[in-house]
Amino acid sequence: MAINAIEWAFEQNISIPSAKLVLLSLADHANATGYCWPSVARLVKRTGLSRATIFRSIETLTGLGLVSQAYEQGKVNRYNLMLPVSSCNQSHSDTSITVIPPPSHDETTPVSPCDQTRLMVIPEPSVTVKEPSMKRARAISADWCASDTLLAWAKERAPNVDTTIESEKFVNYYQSKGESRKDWDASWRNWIIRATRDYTSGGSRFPTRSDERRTRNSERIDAAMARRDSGSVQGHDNVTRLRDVPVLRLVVGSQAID
Amino acid sequence: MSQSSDWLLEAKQSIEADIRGMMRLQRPPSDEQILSTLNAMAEMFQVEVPEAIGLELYMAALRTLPHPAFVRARDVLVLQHKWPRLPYPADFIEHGDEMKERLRAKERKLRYQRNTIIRALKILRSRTF
Repeated sequence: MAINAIEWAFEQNISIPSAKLVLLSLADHANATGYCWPSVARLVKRTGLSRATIFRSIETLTGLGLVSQAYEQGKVNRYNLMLPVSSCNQSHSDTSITVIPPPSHDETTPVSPCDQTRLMVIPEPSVTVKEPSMKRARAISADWCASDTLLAWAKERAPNVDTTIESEKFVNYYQSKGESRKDWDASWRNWIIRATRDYTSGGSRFPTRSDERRTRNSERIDAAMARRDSGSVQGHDNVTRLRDVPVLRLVVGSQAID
Repeated sequence: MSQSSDWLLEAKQSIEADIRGMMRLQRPPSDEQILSTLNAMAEMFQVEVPEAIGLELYMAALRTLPHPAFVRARDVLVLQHKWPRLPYPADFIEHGDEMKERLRAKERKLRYQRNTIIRALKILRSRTF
């Protein structure tokens, strides 16, 4: 626990109480340099807020620039409180610690000040700091339109696609469905790629059952005509009689059916 | 006497022309006609035509009908077929059989008339000589 971090957290002007509570809780876990790695479960337990509120609050704090979040697959979340440099220097003046690595086995165990003093200087963690990652999915706005960058991309990637109509269809579709997306630009790019496939396949994305049946019928009829033309079915005067069909010859013998 | 003979000869020629016409009428439908009919019906009833030997048998069975009977059966089936399948050859034959019999009866009648005239001509010739 770093007193200066808690003091700093109290001083922050945050309009959302839950966000401030989360910030205080993070500050309560922070070391002298402002690093902390409490689990979400622990934050839930300490603050009494729901998981969703914790996530939302962290996103808010990240958006306000008070907290930065580092995430690495399979490791604990690491938060860095953006403490002012002076308070960090002040805390560094009496100890030589710069960074405390996150615990690998028990993420919920708080780091005591005693532990902090025992740990020596550790190189800067290799954890890649993720850009504000907790982007929330939002519904599309009615006035959404593709940016110039997207249009340039579409012109290069899908020159045959009418981007005006496809954009209109895109907005109408997602407005009617009421679905939310984190990145509407990426969704639009996917839409254009699918539209490219539609344009190249002649308007229909997948052949319907009717199309398949029609194709099969045509193939069978063409095959029958080819058999007739090749003379595999014997006939006289363009007429094949029942007894000329091999199977029927077996069935009816020499009887003249016709 | 010669006038009767001439009249009979003309009648015989006329009847023989009718018989030839009847024989032409009783020709079966062509393969193209059968296949196009089956294709149209398959499209109409949203079904598939048979494959390979099945289609050959279908066509062979339908060739037993004279062309007018086939057309008549096709028209009736288009109006009256009620099942979600391609009409069977038996369906065609059921609806075309009456027309087929009528054509055959007409041909038999014409042949009988021609034979009667031939007999009459023989009698006339035997009396002349």
